[in-house]
Amino acid sequence: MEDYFLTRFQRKTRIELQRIVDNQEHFQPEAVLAATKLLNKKLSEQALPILDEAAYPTRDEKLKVDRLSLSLDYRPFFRTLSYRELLTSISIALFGLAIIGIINYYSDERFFKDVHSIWRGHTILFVFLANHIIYRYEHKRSNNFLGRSINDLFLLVSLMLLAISYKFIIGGTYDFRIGNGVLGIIILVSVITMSIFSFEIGLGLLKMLLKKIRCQIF
Amino acid sequence: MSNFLRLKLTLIVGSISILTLIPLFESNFNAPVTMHRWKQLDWDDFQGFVKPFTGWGAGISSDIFIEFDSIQGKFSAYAAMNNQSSWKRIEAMDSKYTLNHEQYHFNITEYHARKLNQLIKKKNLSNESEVNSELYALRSELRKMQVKYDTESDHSLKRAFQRMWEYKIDSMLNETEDYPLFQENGNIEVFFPDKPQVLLFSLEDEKFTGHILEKYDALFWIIDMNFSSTDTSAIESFAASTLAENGLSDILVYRDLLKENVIFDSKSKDTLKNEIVVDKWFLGNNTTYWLRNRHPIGEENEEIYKRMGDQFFNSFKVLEE
Repeated sequence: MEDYFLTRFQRKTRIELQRIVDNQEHFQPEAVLAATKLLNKKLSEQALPILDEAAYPTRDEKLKVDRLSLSLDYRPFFRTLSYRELLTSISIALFGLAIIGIINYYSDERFFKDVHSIWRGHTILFVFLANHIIYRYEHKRSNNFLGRSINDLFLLVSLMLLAISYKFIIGGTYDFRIGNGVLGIIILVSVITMSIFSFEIGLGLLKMLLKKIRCQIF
Repeated sequence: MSNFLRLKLTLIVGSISILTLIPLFESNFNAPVTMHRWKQLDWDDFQGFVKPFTGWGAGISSDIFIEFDSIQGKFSAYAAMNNQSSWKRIEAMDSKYTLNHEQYHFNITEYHARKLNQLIKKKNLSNESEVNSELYALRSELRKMQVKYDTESDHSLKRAFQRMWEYKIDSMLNETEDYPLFQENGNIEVFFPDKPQVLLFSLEDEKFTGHILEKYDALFWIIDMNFSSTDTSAIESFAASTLAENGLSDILVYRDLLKENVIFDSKSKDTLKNEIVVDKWFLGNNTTYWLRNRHPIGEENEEIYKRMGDQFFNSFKVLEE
């Protein structure tokens, strides 16, 4: 079986072979093995690094940017961007809204008394964190700072759109106005961007800490 | 199908189910709604679906609504409760106390509806957006007060706090009410949070008239004693003996703390009913008034009931003739 794949992949380029190795969950083990062998062969012949340097920085650069997980390289994220990210954002946003719905529904109960706002806050925090955790396990690699920030933006937009749609469907009103025209929009975008970046700097620190204790989850 | 795709689809289906069920529970599966305007509620007005896993006996959904009189061209606000979003557990139906707690939630809404009507009148609002703007502000205030009421009374579990809130809400609702007292010589003013009853009181074969309010686990009365005297020692002796004859004990008479037109001030105990009795006699224009406040004994609650009594006593005013 492996020979079959070795023959079949003979004409594939280095990038195509790398893609098979990166997405091995979608291929038969023999195919992955064959792709790895061919890739190693091609690399030894050409003496080139395994991966695109721009997407994967050299060891020294990697150490520098990864110290705080603050890499601003957008290519790794966009290279693998697909419907999966969209589905993750939608599913997690819906899950977050459902949890918040339950918290609101039971907000006057004894077990939520005085703490329902804290629960709501924690739920929001959890969905953003879960987004990164799923990304890591789905892509079998950790997302960098910029990738995480873009992912956060997807989730935030999904949350807002779904919340507005839900209110609309159940017959509620959603009073969302931006004052001061263009200036208001600029301020809003700046606030959102700064909030996401601040949040991700925090997460970068957490990620560094988790790496040190060998418990990296995102 | 990959595990991640399965997980995401499960999350989507599960979340949509929850988000669909919550409004269905709240609306009793879209049953036809009757909006009851402010009134004295009974358990039949609570037709909604009982909140699953709830620890409470009942829940009420009330809000402020706006209507427009096209003939007069005026906006007005009213409070109403949604019978399908208001629910009760069968176990709670024996409890008038629980129903009363819910009634006061409705009363808070009514108070805010009246407040909005006053604002519409005062600011002469005739534009829908202006009225709506005031409505949104008042709704926020309303929600805060509803939460405070539930928090302080612990959803009626703290009885004294529940009674204090009833007193407070009645006081706010009836703030502008003018209950006529002693119509023959109506030259005094005293604040009752709710409408008092006429009281006929006998003492040593002599009959006196007054007004009484028994509510909030407390009693408030004012009696016209039909005499006028500044002889405080004689009054003190008469009043103290009257209290003793009526079975009150531990009578404390405050001589040094007498204020303005107070000619007698005492605190005693009714050990039979387990109540504190505070009496104050006030000098009127041509007569003397006996004001009384009774409330349950209890160290924790003493301050709450004392506050109600103090407000009653402090509201006494002799009007100029």
